[in-house]
Amino acid sequence: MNSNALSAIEKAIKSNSDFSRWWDKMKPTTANVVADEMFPEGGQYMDVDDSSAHCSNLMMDLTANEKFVHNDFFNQFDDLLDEDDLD
Amino acid sequence: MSSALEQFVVTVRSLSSQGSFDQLYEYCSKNSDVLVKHSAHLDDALATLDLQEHSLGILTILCVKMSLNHNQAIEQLYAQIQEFITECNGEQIRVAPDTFAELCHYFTLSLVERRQPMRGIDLLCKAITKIQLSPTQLTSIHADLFQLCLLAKCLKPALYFLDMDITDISKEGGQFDVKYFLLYYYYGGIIYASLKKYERALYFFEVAITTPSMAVSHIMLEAYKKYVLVALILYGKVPPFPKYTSQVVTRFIKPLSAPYNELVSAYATNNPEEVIAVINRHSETLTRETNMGLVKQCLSSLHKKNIQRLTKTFLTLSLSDMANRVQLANAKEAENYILRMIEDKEIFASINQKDGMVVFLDNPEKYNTATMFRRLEDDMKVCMYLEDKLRKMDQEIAVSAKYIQKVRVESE
Repeated sequence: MNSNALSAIEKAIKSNSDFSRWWDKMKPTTANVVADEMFPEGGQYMDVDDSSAHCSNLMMDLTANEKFVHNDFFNQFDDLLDEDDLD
Repeated sequence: MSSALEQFVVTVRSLSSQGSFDQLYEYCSKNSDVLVKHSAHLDDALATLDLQEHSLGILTILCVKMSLNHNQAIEQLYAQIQEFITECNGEQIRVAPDTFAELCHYFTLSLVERRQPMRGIDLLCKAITKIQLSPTQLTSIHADLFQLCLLAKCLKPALYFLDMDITDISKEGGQFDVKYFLLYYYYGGIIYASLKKYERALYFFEVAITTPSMAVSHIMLEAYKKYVLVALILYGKVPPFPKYTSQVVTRFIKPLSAPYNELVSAYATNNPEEVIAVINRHSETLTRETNMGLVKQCLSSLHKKNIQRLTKTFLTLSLSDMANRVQLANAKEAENYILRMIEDKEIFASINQKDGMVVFLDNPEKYNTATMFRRLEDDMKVCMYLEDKLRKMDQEIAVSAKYIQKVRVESE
């Protein structure tokens, strides 16, 4: 497996554990809601809770199968939207 | 010129005059090593060939020159490529779309290395138009063009190609790699997002991440991150993926994008402080992945959505009260948001400058004007065109030998 892929996995795992710790602390409660008219709107949300659950399995699967491709594609562009003008 | 090179030129001239372009293409493919061996004399060979009559031969020579180029006489080579793409015989080069695309890839790579992306844009537009069998055919050169447009920060030329929906892919003699397909939709999505055409950007990123896949493509991974951010800007949430999305997206790509998933959760609370906390925590990653601009737009869109929500509860509200409720810095910032939203028709309101009060109004559109009727008519035309296109494609599949054979096997 190439070094880019490995570092991507390491980063993901690091972020995932950060995420779990943060999520336990920061889980939204009614106290976090800034105004009574700011309730989340209805409708389906993407499930994001499973991201930390399969971390170790994910690592094993990826290592075993070497499933990463296109790691050399060109992506060194300036951030064209990173400006102070937010309109 | 050596005898081998002379033989190459003679064969090119003879097969071209006979119109045996398929045979010539095969000959050129098999003899590129002769050109490599005699690289010092390729300009002599070029001088004996005519741009229109011997396009296939010149293409092969230029491709070899470009592949061997070590920055010697690069300006002369650029001029030769410019002249060739502009003047070559389209009928001949369409016999060798793989070699033509290869030349464009080398040319792009060279311009990127020399940090001169702007000078290739116009030429690649010409190259695509020349090699395409129809305006809606995708080639691997599209990705080169978009790469140069993004590097040069000159996006308009790309829109001519992006605004046309793709209905066909050039196989380029079996050399068309899925990488170019993904890059077309990934770069295209970035271009649309940079121009704040978010709906189209979301569609492009969606095509990239729903492309059938057994492996984790880094292009799909980066497209996923931008897809999440654009979905938040547009809808405030991430819609469920289509059923045909490959497992790799939910199994690998989503877990590898943890900061973005955190942002989705924070956004769902409608609390800007939580979103800002996630942004601060991951600012290094978001900046490194050049997504900070989109992230800032997400935060801005959250403020706007919170302002829109206030219009459902209040008829009037002071600017300072509004700034408090949506967590903006002060009344001035709230006023700026309101003015921009009125301009973009995201809300209907007026501001009384005397007492700093905002009055929310109903949508004045009654859908009974000639302009609105025209718009409906135009949209209906687009739908009818799409329906017609789908019907034709369906018919083509229904009578294709592969499909009939597969249906027969399954029914037996």
